[in-house]
Amino acid sequence: MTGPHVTYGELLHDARRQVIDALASIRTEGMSTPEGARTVLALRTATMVAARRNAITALGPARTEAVLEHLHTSRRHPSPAHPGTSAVAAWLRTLPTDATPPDPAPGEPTSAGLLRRAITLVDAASDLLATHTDPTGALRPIADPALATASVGSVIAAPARLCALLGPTEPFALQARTAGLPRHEVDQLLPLVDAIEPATWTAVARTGFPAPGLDGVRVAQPAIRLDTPVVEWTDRLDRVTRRVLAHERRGDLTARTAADIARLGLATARYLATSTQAHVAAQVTSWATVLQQLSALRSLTPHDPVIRHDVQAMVELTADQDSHDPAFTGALTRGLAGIGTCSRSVERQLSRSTDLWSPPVATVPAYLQRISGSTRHKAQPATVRPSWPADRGHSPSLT
Amino acid sequence: MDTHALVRALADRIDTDPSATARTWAWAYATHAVALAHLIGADPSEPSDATWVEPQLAWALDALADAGVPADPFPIRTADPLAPVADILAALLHQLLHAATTPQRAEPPAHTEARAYTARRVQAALRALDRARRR
Repeated sequence: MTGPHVTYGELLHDARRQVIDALASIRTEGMSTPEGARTVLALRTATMVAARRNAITALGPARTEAVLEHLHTSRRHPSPAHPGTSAVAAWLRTLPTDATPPDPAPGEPTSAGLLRRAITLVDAASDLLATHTDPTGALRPIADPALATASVGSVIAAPARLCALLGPTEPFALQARTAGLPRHEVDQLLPLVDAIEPATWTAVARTGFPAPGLDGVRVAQPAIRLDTPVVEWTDRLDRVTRRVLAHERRGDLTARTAADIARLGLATARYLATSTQAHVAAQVTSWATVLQQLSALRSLTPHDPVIRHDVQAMVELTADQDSHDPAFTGALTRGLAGIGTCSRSVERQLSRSTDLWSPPVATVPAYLQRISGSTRHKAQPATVRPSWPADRGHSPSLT
Repeated sequence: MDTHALVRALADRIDTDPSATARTWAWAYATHAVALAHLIGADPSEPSDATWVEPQLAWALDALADAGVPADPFPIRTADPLAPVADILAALLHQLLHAATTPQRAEPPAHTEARAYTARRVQAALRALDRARRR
């Protein structure tokens, strides 16, 4: 099962099926030889290592650390308040942490191949979850909300089910002895006091036997699709618009970001004016005037790097395109409405900005006003308010 | 004033500075001023190569300013509007690229990073000019 539409739940369900089939194969066919028994037992351990890794990936580094730390504090100061958390921590501590699956060998038991497929599926599920996090393990903005809101119990439910299937040692021990594996090796690989099975059931019982909470999680979709220039340009405009409106909510727009919006408007209008949308030429003049006024201003707050990166990509996309490409022309024509939303928001912010927007003083060689030791004056917002394109609310029709 | 005369006049002023960092800023400032002036004065219904160059230079200037590169704005007389702006900008961009990629002794890392960013912006601008020329 592959593809971007497969879910975390489907991957782990398939892994469980492989484990169930492996257990059935062990019961009916046994482990054949001592070497086969060693292989199956090593793969049993490797599957539980993969399940532990999957549980920790699903929890995330912060929650994992909190869960394990809770085990420490609850040992020092026992408290009945969080029995589930302690049980989950104990379960994670009980599971094996390191196991190298043996290389495939001819004639190995059928159950070995099934367990290898189970490990692959569990690792694929871990990789699927990893697409929702950044290199530090923190959730990305595009992460599935379930990863942040699911309880600890529902997060570990799916990997715990795998461990519950593999936990009982008696079937493995019996078949390993039948295959001729020496008793001391069986005792070493399958300790009589193996605590994985009881720890697993305790963890899921103390968390209330929750339903798995991440079954519907799929591979994270990128914020910007790069399929075609039209799709990329449209996605970037959507993100620029969202961020400009977010700046308006926070009241932290800078002259530099406003200038970037003006550059986007100018590049878009000029592309359209020189293609099939000649009536957009008036907007070109307006945007150029706005840009000229904004270029003279500086604000102390840095620019929005995401907006700048998106505008940069959109300008370069537009520069790459043939001015008569109908698909791209259509996207930019539709995009004028979004740019208009940005320009209206910027104009509202300019009208009430209290930022220090100082035009450069000719006698002082200062390209960017510094906080101390410089000549500065607070410009009244009205005096530096640029005239944004008058017909920005009008989106030319596709004719 | 034709392209060569403009570049010579600017070089006489800018290239006397021993600091490659200062020369980088000055060439970026001059090129941006020329591009912006052309954008303001160009016929809106005609394609303008300055559309793709001005943003790159503005972003480079921002990066240099954020890195603390000293700035000293100076008046610039733009070239004769009859001269192709693509040729003017290409000539200025090559001067800027040379300044941005010239090694500078004892340069703060922030300045080095900003000049490297400037070089990338210049290369993006030159690519845009080249694509426009081939269309």
